[in-house]
Amino acid sequence: MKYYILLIVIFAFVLGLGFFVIAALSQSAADITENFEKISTAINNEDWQKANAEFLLVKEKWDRHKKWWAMIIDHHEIDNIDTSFSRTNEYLNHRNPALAGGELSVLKQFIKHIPETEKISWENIF
Amino acid sequence: MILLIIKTTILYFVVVIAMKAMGKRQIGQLQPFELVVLLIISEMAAISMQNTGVPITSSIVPIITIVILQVFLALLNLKSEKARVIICGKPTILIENGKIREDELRRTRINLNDLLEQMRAKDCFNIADVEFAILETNGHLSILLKSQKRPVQPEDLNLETKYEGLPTNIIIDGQVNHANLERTNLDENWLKQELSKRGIYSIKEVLFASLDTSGNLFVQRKAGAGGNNI
Repeated sequence: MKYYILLIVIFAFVLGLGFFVIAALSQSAADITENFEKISTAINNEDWQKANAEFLLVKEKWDRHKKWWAMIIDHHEIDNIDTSFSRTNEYLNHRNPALAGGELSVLKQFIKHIPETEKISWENIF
Repeated sequence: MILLIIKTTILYFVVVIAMKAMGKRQIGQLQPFELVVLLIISEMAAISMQNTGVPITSSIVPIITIVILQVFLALLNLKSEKARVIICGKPTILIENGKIREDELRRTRINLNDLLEQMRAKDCFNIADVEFAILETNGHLSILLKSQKRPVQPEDLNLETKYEGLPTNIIIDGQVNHANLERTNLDENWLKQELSKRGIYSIKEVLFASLDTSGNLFVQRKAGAGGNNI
């Protein structure tokens, strides 16, 4: 009986950890992407100084969250996000609104996509 | 993480059901084509178990297909002698009438050391004692010793022997097997009486009890309750 209880406790712990990871991923993805609207508006208004400042804040948040994301998600996904960050940074430096806006949208999609892939749904299982 | 747990659990049960559907065989008894099927199934299951990007259906569908093909081949094997020869091959006689067949050893790519090793595994240490050695289709070696070298049978000595059937398990881990008790035309009252004769007053104290065909009851207590054979 002791072993059954131990097994159930370990299983419940792993399950709990799993649910915690899903919630934490959603929260941190929302945290990283919350300034994206401001950057997008700044790009549309060609306010490059503000766009760069906001983007720097986003990059700092990403660098903070990236450390623990790497323990959970596919490293290929992290490489995609890093690549997209570099591209957006270059487009902002070259003050190209079309490319910067497009790449920012791709970056947002890459980040929002991560918690989606971890959610429990029929599409993700089957 | 939760997805990995769910996918692993589903695939675990799919693989267990698939293995059950393929029949009762141990790894050592598998035919070569059955071993291949086992390897493919485990590989298929692992693909979507470890990768959340791969849908589980891409593992389940191939596993079901392989199981269907495997059961079909097994049925074909059962029904047709020709199919059996093609799929499983034929047993090979490596020692015939006490003589090693070099041509068959070469054909099956088995050297003399391998042959001696397999014979030793069958408790046969002298090749001169062997009348026939047959390499079965699953890779096992079957040995028939020369008549002068095989163990003596009661029939050789014209001895009468009593009937020996399988002992019936009556109690396992403190639980009475009522079906077996009924099959031997006995009841729990008889069992309790027999146990009390041995100083056991609760069935829970018994680890194992069995009844042989001569009517002898073997009882072993649990470690906490004495743990001795009575």
